[in-house]
Amino acid sequence: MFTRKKLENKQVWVYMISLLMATVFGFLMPGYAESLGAFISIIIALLMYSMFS
Amino acid sequence: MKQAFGNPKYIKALLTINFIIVPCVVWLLSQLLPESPILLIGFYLVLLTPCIDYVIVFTSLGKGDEKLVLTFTPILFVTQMLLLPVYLWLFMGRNAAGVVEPAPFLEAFFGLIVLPLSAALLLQIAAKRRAFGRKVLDGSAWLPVPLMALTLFIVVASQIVKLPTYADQIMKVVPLYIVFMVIMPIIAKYVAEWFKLGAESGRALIFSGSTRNSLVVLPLALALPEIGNVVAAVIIAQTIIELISELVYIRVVPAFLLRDE
Repeated sequence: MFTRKKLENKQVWVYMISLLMATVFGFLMPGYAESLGAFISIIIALLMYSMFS
Repeated sequence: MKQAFGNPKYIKALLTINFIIVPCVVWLLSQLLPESPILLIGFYLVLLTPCIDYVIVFTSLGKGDEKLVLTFTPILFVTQMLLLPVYLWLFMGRNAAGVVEPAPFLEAFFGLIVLPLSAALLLQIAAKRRAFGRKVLDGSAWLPVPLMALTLFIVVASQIVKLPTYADQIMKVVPLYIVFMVIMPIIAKYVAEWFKLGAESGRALIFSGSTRNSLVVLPLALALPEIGNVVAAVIIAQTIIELISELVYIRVVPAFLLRDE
């Protein structure tokens, strides 16, 4: 089964893949990618909430 | 919080490294940069704020005491927000006053710290009373990893196109970021010895001292009128170098730099 423990053990790879995908997406579709910038503050606030709880 | 004050040696070492030693190192390195307020502000914003997010993961992978890092996260967070304006003023003087406005700082402080922290606390209180609260809390436990991945994705995807545009400026700071990533773990190791920390808490100190880039500074940078984009690019360049360095740290720190006794 897919458990939280497994996800946490593999998290560095999740981040690296996410970083790679972001780089590709950012250069291939700069217009769409740049409009994501509007969500930066919201996503960081959500991340902070998840880490505090 | 009780746990936090139960370890006075670590908290003293942590505050010393993050708010006395790192600022000195950053100031010395910044002397090698050209007199450009844009470069300096990005450099200071990203290096003066200790990491409060993925440092926990990398500490745990690098055989450091990640619970210690997690426990002190709120303290690091509040302290850096209070001291950052002080350092900017000390290092940049009047230049900083023109560039950095208090309003975005206050906004970031409330939106990114006070609000999420109170939401988390309220839910914890609710969880003790009702089944619904418990369910939300159980669900929240899943969130950090996907949200961290999503945050990195959004931050990097939205900013990376700017890197080639500002390549000239970025190439001036990149060597200094690399020097920082190399010397900081070594300095941190001696600080850990000086405060007589054990191997696991010593490694936690190495990770906390070397890992920078509190994500909250990015909204601060983007809020800067006119120069926001360049400053954000200077910050993102550090994020990328740092993540690569962390992959080296998780192997080198426990195997060579600070081994078990």
